[in-house]
Amino acid sequence: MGEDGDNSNSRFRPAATGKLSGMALPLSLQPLGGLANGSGKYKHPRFGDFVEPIRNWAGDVPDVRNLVSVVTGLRLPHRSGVANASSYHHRGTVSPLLSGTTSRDTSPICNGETADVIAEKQFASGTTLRCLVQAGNYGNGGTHDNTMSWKANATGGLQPVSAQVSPRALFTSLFEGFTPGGAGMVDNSAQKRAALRRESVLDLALPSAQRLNERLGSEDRKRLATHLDGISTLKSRVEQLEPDGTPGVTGCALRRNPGPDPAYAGGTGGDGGGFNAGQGWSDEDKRATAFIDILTAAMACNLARTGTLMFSYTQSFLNSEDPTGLRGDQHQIGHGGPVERANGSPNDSVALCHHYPVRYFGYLIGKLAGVTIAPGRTLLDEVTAGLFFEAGHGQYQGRMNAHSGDEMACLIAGNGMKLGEHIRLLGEHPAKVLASMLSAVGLDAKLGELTGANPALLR
Amino acid sequence: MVLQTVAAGVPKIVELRRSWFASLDPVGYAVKHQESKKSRHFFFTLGLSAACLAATVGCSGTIRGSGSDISTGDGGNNSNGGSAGNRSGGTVGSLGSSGSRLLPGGGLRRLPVRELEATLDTVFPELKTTRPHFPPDGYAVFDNEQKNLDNGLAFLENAALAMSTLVEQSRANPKIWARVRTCPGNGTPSVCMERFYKEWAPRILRRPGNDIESKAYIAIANQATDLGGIDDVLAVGLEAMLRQPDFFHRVELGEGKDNVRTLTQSELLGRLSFFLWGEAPDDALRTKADGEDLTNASTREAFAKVMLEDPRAERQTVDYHAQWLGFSTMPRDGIKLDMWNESAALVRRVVFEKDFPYEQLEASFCADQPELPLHSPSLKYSSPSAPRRNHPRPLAFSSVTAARRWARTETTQTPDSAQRPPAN
Repeated sequence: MGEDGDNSNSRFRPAATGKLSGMALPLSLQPLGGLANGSGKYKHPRFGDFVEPIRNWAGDVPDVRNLVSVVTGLRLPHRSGVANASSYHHRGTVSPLLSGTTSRDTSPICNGETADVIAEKQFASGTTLRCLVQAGNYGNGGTHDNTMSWKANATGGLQPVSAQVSPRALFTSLFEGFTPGGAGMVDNSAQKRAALRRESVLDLALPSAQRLNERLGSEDRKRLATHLDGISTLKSRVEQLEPDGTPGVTGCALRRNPGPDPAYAGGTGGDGGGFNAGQGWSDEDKRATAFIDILTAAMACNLARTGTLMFSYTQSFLNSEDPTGLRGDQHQIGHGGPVERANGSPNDSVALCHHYPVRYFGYLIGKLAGVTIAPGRTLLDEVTAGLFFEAGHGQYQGRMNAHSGDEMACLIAGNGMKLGEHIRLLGEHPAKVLASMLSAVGLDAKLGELTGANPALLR
Repeated sequence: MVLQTVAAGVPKIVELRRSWFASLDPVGYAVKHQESKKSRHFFFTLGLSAACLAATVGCSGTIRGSGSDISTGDGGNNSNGGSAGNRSGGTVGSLGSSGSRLLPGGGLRRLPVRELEATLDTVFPELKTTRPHFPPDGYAVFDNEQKNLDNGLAFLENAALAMSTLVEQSRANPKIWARVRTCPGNGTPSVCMERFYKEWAPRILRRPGNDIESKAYIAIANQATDLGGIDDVLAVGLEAMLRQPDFFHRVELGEGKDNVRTLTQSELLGRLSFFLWGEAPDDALRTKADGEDLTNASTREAFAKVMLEDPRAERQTVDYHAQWLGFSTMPRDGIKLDMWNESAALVRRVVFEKDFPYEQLEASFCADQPELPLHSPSLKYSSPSAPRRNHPRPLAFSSVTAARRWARTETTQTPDSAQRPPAN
């Protein structure tokens, strides 16, 4: 969790194991200590008071140190022939990390179903919301770089499940015609008509797609299968809005309509493409907060049981100027990219990049903890959440390296997990943390080639 | 056949020019089915690939090229990219005038956002500047590589929002709504819907309507009271049609028996239009095709020639080359915009301009970085000997820019070899 050549990984790893509340958070984790709404202000251990250059930050991160645990010392094997290993850095880590299966090549294709799909199937109700906090592919150019979810298809193969980049489209799809807060979801004629209109449109589109499907060859049918699944999902969402079809859900309340989506600001040019001011950042702060608001509301309203958020792509070339003030893309910063902050070191640059997902994890936890579903019980008590990274910071290719599978770390929170601690699990596979999360919410702790939870993570 | 011509060198490419599109018979009309439609392969876009090579041949000084060299698709799913050589699941037939061939691809291909939005502009020209946009597709060399195009829930959520907004905008636009509601003032909802379906199915679904669908649309019209009224019913009909897979995809099923199926008239027209214009056929083209037999090669040739005169053909050609050469994703500001325009101008000249001096494209100076500052003194690329990562794709740009500059001076002199940079 540092840049290439940096011999320390202490910027993410707390100095000692034990309670987080009793220790100074390392730089990467500072946002967990709380960010005032709109300010992005926190205490920098070396520079003193520090305001992150967040232009559109509208969220509020409470102090979540007691609600989150930091897990460090994880290890994703790199070597071939080793079970659950990645074949290479970047894309090659995706399969073992998200599906617990060994990667076969340097692509980000998973060789088993991912944890979200496994949870979705075992819950057997609701749908998984998959959100991509990055408007476009900022230079990677690789197929499936933005895919974090893989599902078995009818023929036994695996197919990617795409993620949504438009908060507005997701919001509309879930909540149009929806009145939260009571037994009746549709309570007036305008909303009733809106729901009927949505249903009528799908009533026409679905049979048409099915008729087309019957005329296709097998290869084309596979291609249309995801389309048919998608229409069916949209239809089931509409059906959930039937006046008597949805039970009242305490705590079900919409935060706000996200409004227009942030405009797409173009890409960065990829590896070596150089830094382009204004490119590669499409107000991802707004997108992230909107997705988290929607995700929280959907779970509170029983419209979704699982959700995944992906902050940037594999080998991200996200423009880091907005989230960190560093004029470079995330990937180059990992290689020791620009250091423009006074007195800063390259190592601090990587830690500042961590702030981007870490603060949104804190924001999500704060949101979930803010929804009361029963006296003394919040939505956070019903869910389990984790934040994982593509790589750690250990020996790789002959030196301490930001692409290493050693010294990986993650954050966990929620129901059944040990909270408020720094837990060091030296050598544990990171996907085992995911398996433990499945176990914590009462599901089978089996993920690809990995079985069983790690009791050190569970309450 | 074409590939061998291309591989043989520029002089022969010169002979191709605009007649490529007709002589290569790019819209072959028959699809031979193999093993229950599994391995149909389409092979109709070679013309643009040849144009690509023509435009860039100067980069290496030679034209490389077996078919597989210029194939950039994903196993046949790329409808713009060249497709040649043996591909998984099929072989490639000749490009002559014979009708039956195996074609790469499949009978169902999702439109990339570029084609999707261009098609919406064709159907709703009044909303060109205000209509909603789709999120960008996943990036690949070519935007229509099917493996990168989402077809599932996220895409449908975006489509639902976009189409719903588009229908609202259409209702608010009297000109559009007059085209939607063509039934008499005292027409019943079902009469209006029947008429709407009949008139709009060819426009949006790119095929004639059918009885089963028509009845389903009329059945929805019977809920007019609950939905609100005739306009509400028609709005549902319009949105539903815009959300059918036939709109989002190019569907080519053909007709006929056994293993050989013939593409229908509307499928052929769609091929021509997407191939040459990058969008669905508009009303004028469909009207022009009425009564014509597009299965006839000479008729197709005549159609193609007329379509090539349309500005949309230039746009499509530039789009394709921008993707192939990698400048489609380049930020368009400052000097980069100049370079973009410069590159596009060269593509236009090579493909569309009469008497373009092709020998310019054989020049070996295209890797000449110092040429770029001649285009603009503000351009600051490092030398070719610098690490390539500092300038990932300058060669393509420098080649077209240099060629363009050279063309402007109307010189035929090869640049001094002393100016050439060392090879990368």
